[in-house]
Amino acid sequence: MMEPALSWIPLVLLIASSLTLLISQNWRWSIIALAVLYLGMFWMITWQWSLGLAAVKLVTGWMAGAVLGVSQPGNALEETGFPRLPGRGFKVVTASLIWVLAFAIAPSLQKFFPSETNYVLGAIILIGMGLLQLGMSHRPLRVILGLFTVLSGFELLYAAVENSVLVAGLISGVNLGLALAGAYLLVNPEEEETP
Amino acid sequence: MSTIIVWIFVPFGVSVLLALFNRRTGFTRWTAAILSLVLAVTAALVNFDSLIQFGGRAYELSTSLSILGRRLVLEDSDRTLLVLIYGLSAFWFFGAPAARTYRLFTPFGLGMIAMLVASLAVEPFLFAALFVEIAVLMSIPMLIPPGRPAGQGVMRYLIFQTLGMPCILIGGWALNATEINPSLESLLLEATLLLGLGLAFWLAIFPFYTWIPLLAVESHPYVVGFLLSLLPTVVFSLLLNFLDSYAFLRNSTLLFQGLQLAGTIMVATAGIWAAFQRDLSRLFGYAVILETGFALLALSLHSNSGLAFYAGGFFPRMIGLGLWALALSVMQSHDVSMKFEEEKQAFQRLPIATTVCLLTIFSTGGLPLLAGFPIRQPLLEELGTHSIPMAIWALAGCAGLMFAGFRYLGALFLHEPKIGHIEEDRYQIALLLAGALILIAAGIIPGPYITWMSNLLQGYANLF
Repeated sequence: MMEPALSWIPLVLLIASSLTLLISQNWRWSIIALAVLYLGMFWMITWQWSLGLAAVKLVTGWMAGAVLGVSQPGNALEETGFPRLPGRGFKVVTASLIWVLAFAIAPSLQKFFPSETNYVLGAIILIGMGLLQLGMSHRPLRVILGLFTVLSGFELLYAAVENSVLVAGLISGVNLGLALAGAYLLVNPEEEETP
Repeated sequence: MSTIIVWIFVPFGVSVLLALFNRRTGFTRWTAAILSLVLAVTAALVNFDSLIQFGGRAYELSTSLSILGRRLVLEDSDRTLLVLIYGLSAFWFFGAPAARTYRLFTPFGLGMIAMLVASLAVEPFLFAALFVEIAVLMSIPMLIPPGRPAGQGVMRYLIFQTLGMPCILIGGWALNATEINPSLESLLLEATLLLGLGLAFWLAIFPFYTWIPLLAVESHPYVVGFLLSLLPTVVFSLLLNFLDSYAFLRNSTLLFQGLQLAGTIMVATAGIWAAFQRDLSRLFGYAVILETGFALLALSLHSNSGLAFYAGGFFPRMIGLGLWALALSVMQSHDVSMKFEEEKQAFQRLPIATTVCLLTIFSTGGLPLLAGFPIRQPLLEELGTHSIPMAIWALAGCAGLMFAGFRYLGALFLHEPKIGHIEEDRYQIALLLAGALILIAAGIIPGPYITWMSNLLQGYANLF
């Protein structure tokens, strides 16, 4: 299949943003990385869907980021288990293993998902990086960001085979619901009184 | 008027309203309970295929609604399932005042039920995965009361349930693709594996069940009971939908062997871990795993009798889990510890709740004369005709849970049992006693409920 022009740019955006989501301990950088991730995803989905329908993904992703951002996560990303520098180094090494794995299996997945190499590669990298994030932490914000990463990879794959408007709407609903659940976990408002 | 509006949009709309008034717990609990009861009774009485006479006029009930090019359909064959789901939700919401649940339980619980019904109604049913995921997300505020941090169990629950959705959607797409284009037959194995993985995430099948005992300890027992009885009910219905729709799955020996192995491992490990537990909440979690294992074993028999055991097993499962969760909530609301070693005052203070708790442990374990026995005994017998080692392991699981029950009995009566001032209130006593009577009556006269529950299978024309 012919690769669209500059198809490596969204792939680089996805790799950089998912790596930032994995190693960043600053919530602002993470929210920005999430926004960039959805931009890259939107770019790729325009190869499969009409611009209008693909824009739904971008708007939903940015809204999800905004919902998480306004809940002011503070130090919700700081890991207590990993010392800062060695922890980041370890994460970069494991992320590179995911990239190698993605480059290895993308060609074989292309026979199932009829799309460009960089497209499938981006999807696999997102799923892998998301699973890595989920496996490394139980902190709510990291889990939510990990789930967003996995789901965006899945959305890329699924967009290649299904273009139903209802499904696009429901997946957007799931993303917004996940953001709201994440915001609830982060905000945790007031003490409950048992009646 | 449409069945979709009545059984999906109305409860969802009411749940949004109740969420706005969530601080008025009395109002939200009773409204949700009465609405659920009305919807269950209406589903039982109204025939969807005929005109409805109301106020001297006749109304036609449309059974489908198109949204964005897809359809939501609730037909006459779905009535039993609607009665079961809304009956169950009424059962749980009427118990909420006695269990003293948090204020977000009823609004989000009702919304969750509407989403689960939508998951059963959507066509093609593969998109059900998205509705199930929305229901899971709606359950998060119920599980973590405001003001408390999220525990590991809730996070694992969220992760596993969310990971199930992509697996089901892509697996379902692959299965459809092979049906439309036989040249893609190489996709069949991948499709089966993805569907299996997705269902394993959703149903907390071995090895993805570690979050259940954690969740049982971290969250309110009544909310956990509600979630772990309703979610698997709907997911099992989706599993039957898959089996009903795809001949390849129905005829796959590998799938049924896998179900049998997973079911046996779940029953055996849950029973064995339960035997060593000293915490009633964790024990409850293991009982849920054991029940799911038995449902898988019933399906794995790949026969009409297996299906009958599967459908019949719903009733004791629901009553047992509901009562157990209520008893635990009553104990928790009176600050009675869930640890066995701290139970010395429990029987004196809460004799009904502790006795009912014991009764449900034994019923889940399959003690004769209780509701669990009439399903467990023939199921194990038939399992034995397929594989003696599997039946022995399943029996060991039951024995483990019964052993835990005897340990709890020992802990309760470690000191001389003297009943002083009973702390349960009248409503709690009435619900607990009514539930216990149903548990015993269903054990002595199982015929009626087994016959009624077999109606659940009406909608699956191709099964076996």
